[in-house]
Amino acid sequence: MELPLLSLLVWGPFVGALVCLGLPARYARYSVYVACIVLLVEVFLAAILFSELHMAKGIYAESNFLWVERHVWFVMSLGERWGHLRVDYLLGVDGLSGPLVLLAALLFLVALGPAWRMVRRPRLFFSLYLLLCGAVMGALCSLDMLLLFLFLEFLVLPTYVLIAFWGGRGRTEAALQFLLYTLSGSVLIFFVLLGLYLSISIPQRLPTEVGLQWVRHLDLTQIINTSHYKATGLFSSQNMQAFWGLPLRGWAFLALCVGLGIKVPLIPGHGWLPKAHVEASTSISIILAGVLLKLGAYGLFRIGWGVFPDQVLEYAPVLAFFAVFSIVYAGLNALVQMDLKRLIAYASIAHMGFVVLGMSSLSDRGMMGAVYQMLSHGLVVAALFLIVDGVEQRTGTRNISHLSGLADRGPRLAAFALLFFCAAFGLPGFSGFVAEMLVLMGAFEAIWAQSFSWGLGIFALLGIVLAAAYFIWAYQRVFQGPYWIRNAERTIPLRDICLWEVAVLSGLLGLVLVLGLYPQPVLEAMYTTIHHLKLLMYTYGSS
Amino acid sequence: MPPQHPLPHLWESLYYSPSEGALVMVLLGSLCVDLLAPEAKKRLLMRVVGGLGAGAALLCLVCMGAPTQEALFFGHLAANTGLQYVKGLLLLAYLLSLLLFEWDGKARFASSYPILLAALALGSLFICAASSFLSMYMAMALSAVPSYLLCSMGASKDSYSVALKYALLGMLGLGALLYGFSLLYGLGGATGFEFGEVLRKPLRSGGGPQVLMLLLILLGFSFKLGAFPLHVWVPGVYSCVPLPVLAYLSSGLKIALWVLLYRLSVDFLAHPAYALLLAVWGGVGFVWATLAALSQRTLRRLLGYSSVAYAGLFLLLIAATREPLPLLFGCTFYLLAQYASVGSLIALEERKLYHMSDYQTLSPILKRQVGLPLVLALIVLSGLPPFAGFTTKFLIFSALLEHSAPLFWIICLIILLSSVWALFYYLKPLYILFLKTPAEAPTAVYTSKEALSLWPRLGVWVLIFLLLVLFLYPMPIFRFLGNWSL
Repeated sequence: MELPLLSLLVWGPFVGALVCLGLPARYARYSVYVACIVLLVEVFLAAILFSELHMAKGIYAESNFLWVERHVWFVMSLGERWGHLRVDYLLGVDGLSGPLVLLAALLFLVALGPAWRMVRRPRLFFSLYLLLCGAVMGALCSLDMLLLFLFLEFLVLPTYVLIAFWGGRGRTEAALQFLLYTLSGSVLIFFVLLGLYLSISIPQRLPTEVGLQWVRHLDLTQIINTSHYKATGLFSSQNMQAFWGLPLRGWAFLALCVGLGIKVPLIPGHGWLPKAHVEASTSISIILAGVLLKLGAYGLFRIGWGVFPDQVLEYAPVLAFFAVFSIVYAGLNALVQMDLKRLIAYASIAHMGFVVLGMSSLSDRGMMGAVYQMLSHGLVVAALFLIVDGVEQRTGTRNISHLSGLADRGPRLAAFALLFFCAAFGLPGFSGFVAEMLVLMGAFEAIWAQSFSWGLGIFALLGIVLAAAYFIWAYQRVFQGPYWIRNAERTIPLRDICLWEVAVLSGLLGLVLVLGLYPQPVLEAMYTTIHHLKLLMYTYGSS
Repeated sequence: MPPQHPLPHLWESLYYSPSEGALVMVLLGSLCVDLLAPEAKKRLLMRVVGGLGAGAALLCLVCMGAPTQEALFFGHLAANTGLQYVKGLLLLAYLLSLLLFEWDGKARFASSYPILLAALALGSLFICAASSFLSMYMAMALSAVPSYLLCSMGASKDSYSVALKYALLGMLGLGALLYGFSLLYGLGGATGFEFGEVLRKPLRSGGGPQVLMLLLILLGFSFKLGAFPLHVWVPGVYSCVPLPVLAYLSSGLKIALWVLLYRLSVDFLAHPAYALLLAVWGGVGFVWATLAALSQRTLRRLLGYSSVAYAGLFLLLIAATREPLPLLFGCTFYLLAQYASVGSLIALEERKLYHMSDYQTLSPILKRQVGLPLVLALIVLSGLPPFAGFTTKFLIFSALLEHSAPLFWIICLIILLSSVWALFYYLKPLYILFLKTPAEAPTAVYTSKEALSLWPRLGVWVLIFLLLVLFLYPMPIFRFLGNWSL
């Protein structure tokens, strides 16, 4: 019997959360060790999974995915008119989700660092943290759309509490904003999910019924097949019914893009992000920027690109436009930020803009670049938040105008800051360079590039220039020049970063460099899946 | 469907009505206890009589097997598999309310409670099974009188005035229903539920009496259900009524009315225009209640507006589908969720720790004992996963989208968006109990660390667990309810 590796990945953190909650009060401080052990196991399992990703064969059938687990969750008879609703506990990974699973496992482990000495209700913190981890793994591994949606929704609650309880001064407002924005997005996704469920009818044999039954099943490996849609189904491509001039399928794709665009976030759905990043504790900021934003883009890939290829083909230029707008707008905003965390938040929006631009290019290179950018940004942003946390811990402020010359007293901190700032704006040798290069190549060779000329690609290039500007300018102001800290409550004998910080940052730097210098294994792991996704676009989409 | 074959023999009708029979016996037994038993033991004995009667009725319902569609008592009541399940739910609600009396020592005339509650439960059993306008009206009147009296027995000094207001509005609602039925009888001579032909007339002839009749009937229902626009009694009654009664009023009685409306609307919804009317009524009610709930400052009023919102949601479900499964599942969820939330309020109010006051005064010190169950019960009501509230909303929204009229889709989207801002009030207690630091929290009303009673809290946990199981493993209940008619 095959090891249920994905179930272990998903439910291991849930068990860990229960263990943390069950610890007696006097052993509360050990909850961090429980979390650490669980996350080490997660990284180990994710690494096993990643090592086999090159065997993933595509997206058209369940057998093309790896480590598939399928159990019927429930089948509900809804009468003759409605047929049967079937929801499966269906897990599996491919070249799209596999790298992100490894990234998520790594970042959850890395983000434990700043929370290591958590003194305020550690049991609750680490149990929520592990619940969040389990929900993220569940969302990444689910191949049933309802299951994916449930995990996506479930992770909102622990994130809300983690921001609202352990954040900065404006944490409750930030948490509320996060909740409202993401749930508003979720409502739209739920709307699409319901419409899809009503449009699909797949002949299947059910364990509870005799003979073939018409089943409504949101199995993502099957709903990419247009023959599984009822001709009159709400979101069927054959349904010509239009609402305000746009076919219902177009409305569905629009709703999905808005819903997931808030999670990515694409401008103008980004309002929640800067505040949440600033007010959340460093660990949660890392998870927010490094993992949760990726779930939005992953959802777009898995559901938007997988289920609505025809609409993607039609609306890719519009998405690309919003992506480039996000890159430039967020870049300009980042230039004027005085809070280092806020600067990184806007930089994240710009980087996620590159992800969406790559996805919209509908080319192998661009789409692989998008996934690569997610990996690269996840690693880099984690390091950036660790550095900002280091600065704040030592100086008591994150305000750029209150800091100067930190390199004088903290050379190691400054060196890492310089390296990761360079990685963030995509200097050759770092992972960001490979990712952005692939995305831009994709944007220039996209089918819509001819009609749009190359305007969008050129504007996206401007984003890289802006990134270099705001990162280098921030580095110059914070780390160079004479050493002083304005408004310091006490004279601060600045300590350089300690050993564990050096170890973690070095590990992240190593990964960023490996991805920058030798991208082949990761690109190979994701190629088949991405290529099949592109083929889907041009076969089903054009038909 | 209306009853097809009226049973000629009264004994056969009685055979299919064990629950009603048992509650009549409970009522009589409780009256005897009230007359004969010593004062100190009345309360206990009445609960024993009530518990035994309801337990026996539940046992009969389970053992009797599923009846086919039958007309009882010469066509005045109906019996079928779905109704049998609903009656089981109502008896369960009655039993739970009886149990909750143990922890509600504040109310006046406490010994009369079980008698009135039995009458209320009997009324709701008749409501859900009614098959003619005569039996329906009688059943509503039977449930109305005990509910007014029970409302006046609350511990609050406002109880009398609120009960009076409730009774006056109730008379208005019942009056509207009576006028509606009279018009219906005058227009078509119908006393049963087959009045589709009468309703179709105004669309052909443009006549007004049919529309007036429909509006009067809907207004009557709107009052009884506590649905928009005649929901004005809800906040007051929810603020004053004893909590065990509140639990029954907000779940048992409503479930009975939803089921009745579902059965009543077979003919009524045959024309799409009426389905749309019902859907718009439900949708507006939901949005209105959600907006009104935002400004509430007491947990009881908050639950009141939540129930108004749910009334709107279930009206939408009834307008959108003729499949009984979503309604039966929704009723099960709603009953468990209401008792979970009211149970956590009982734990909170038990020792006057917090009484009908601003919930901003909830002390963070309470969070260990009642905070978490209360917050979870509210999350259940909000419809977030992983609880059965999500499954219910999923079924309701699916039914709306399945409808061919685009207006249903728009209503679905509006309701979905309203659900987001509904989270504001559902999650507010979570914020106050868990996220406000003691310095930010207003003056605490409770500072003792004395433990609260275990049983109500344990009961709430059990209900929440059941709601979790219903979400995680709904197969058995779907199979159980799958082939039943209503």
